Amino acid sequence: MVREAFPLAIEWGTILGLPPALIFFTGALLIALVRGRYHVGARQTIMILTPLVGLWNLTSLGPGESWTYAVFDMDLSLLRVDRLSLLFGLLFHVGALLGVIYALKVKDSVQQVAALTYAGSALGAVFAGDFLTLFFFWEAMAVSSAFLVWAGGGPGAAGAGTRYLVIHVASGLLLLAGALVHLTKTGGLSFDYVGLTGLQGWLIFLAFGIKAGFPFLHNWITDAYPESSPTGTVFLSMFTTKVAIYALARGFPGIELLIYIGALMTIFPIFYAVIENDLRRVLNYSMINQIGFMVVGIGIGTELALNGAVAHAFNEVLFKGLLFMTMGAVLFRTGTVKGSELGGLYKTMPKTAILCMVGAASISAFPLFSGFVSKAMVMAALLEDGHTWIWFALLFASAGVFHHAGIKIPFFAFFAHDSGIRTTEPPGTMMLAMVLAAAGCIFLGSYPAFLYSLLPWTVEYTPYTYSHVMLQTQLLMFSALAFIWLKLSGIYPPELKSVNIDVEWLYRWAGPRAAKVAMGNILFLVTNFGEAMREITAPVIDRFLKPNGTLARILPTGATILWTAAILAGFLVLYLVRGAG
Amino acid sequence: MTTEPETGEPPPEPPRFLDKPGNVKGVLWGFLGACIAIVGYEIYRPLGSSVTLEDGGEAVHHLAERAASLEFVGSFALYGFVSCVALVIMGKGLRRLTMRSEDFYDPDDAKTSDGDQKPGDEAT
Repeated sequence: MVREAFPLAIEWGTILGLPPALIFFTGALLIALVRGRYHVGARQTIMILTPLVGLWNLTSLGPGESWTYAVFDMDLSLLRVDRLSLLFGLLFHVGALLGVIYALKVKDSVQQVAALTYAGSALGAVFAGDFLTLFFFWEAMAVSSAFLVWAGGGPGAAGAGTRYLVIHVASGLLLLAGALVHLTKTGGLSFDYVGLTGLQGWLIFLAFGIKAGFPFLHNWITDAYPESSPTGTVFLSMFTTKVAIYALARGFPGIELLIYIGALMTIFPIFYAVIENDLRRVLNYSMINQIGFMVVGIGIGTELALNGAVAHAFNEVLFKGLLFMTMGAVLFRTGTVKGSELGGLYKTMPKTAILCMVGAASISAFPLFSGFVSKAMVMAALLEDGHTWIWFALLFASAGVFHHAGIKIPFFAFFAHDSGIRTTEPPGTMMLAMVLAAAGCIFLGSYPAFLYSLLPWTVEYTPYTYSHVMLQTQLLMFSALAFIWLKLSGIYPPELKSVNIDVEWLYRWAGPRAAKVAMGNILFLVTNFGEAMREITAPVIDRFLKPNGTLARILPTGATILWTAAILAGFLVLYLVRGAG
Repeated sequence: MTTEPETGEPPPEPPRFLDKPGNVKGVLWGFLGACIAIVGYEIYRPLGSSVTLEDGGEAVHHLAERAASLEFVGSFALYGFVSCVALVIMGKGLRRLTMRSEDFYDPDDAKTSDGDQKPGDEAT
């Protein structure tokens, strides 16, 4: 049963009630208009005011409200308000506010415009009532966030940003293709339950899966996010994957395949996280792990599980944002986040160390911290649904996430061997954002009734029982004990200057080389057997291009767009392989 | 009159709590004691001993009450310990397959994710 009233709704009359994306796009436009070194203060004011005005506007939105518009003969919806979209709307406003405070010292107007456009696009996506509107914001998210990756400025940022953009544009094309097939089959574009029936279901599922970081489609997260600037990564961690979780929760709840995909997502990244040297990349593997819990919850599809999935998304934005902020502070102050080069920072960054440990406790689901009250809902739903083995797998993943995100991150950055680096705490605005995020983690974990009151579906859940607290505490304490034993006995792998190849190896190493070999062979054939080739190809070309040939036929508009999307996708793949080489 | 610039070493830092190996050992022994104590408490009060509540006719979901049927005393502690040891050992095996030098993808332009950023220099 879906609840109607939203607890934060306030009756403002008809003052606002705008689609939230419009407010953020207006903020971005204003910043673009006041570029220049003399308008730093004005831009900072706009940055802060935008999410605040957005929050004010959000409180005036009630379930059932909508903004519709017509394109050709199709009714599209820029604003579809229900409790699910309101929850993510609130989450993205809070995330944007924290990100803006954290990045307040940033003077680069390109990043400022990109950040507000990105947040606005994410909001546009969660309030979109149809696939075409969703597609527009889907691609706007891709383009605006790519600027945040490029803003990293390091030697790897340009390539990583381009690969990121190509993959996300491809995701958008799949979504567009799926939407058009959906239109052809159903006659409408309304974004509701899709399910895995027919071509449109699989196309849309794949589009959402790329953004959610499904196994083998996850690599853009670990490739691009660590290349962004200290502040850019914080924004990046908050929106894209959570929009995907929202989209899956709306379009594919109860699809059993998601349980197995999600379980795989919780397991495989933790092995990479143990051996990864770049601590921001460790956090990205950990993000895939956490998204896995949400995907499992969506796959189960019961009210408890769906509530758990979206509640965990809500919490993850805060605790993962906090962890990225602390690592961003370390990068900002020391110039590196390599585990092999850090250590002993607690001496000069003690407050950051404590805040990092709050984030670590939250992601590890320690009692009184936010992860505890949401992750367990998914776990409980698994047992209720009879998935005992998956439950054990996720329990393993829970121990693993504590191992790498809960212990490894704070240990190698702030403790371990003394690297000799002496620095200071980050600037006040960065610290303020971290304190607010940490306070949110503790508040939501200690007073879960607030978060539960925001959840879309009616379900009662009591996280604080003796058994649950005991089980979780034992699991985590003995995980820590294992870490201590492994470290003292020398079994624990040292942090080494290295990279670990992942799926990107296929398109950054093997693909370009295979393409080069293939092209060489083709050129050889063309050069030596040109005449023979012409004889072979002439009839084929005739068949396609002559009057009444396959490519000369008049096609319906939808099919033409579909072919255009397919050709664009082909070019994207070629560009990805060629660009990576 | 000119003054010589100070060229001496910076003043030594005062030792911190964790700089003393004895204190680190104390913390670790204390943690081990806490681990033993929490398992010991489970013997005194087994998991699943709290009563499942009913609220407004709807069952209140209890994760651990259901999980309790799967366990013996200290089983989740053991699961956590064994999981992490297995994770690290398998992770080391994975490293043998996947680890490459930092310039693996860009040999001409050693790729580091943050190598060019200067401390305090927000690239923004």
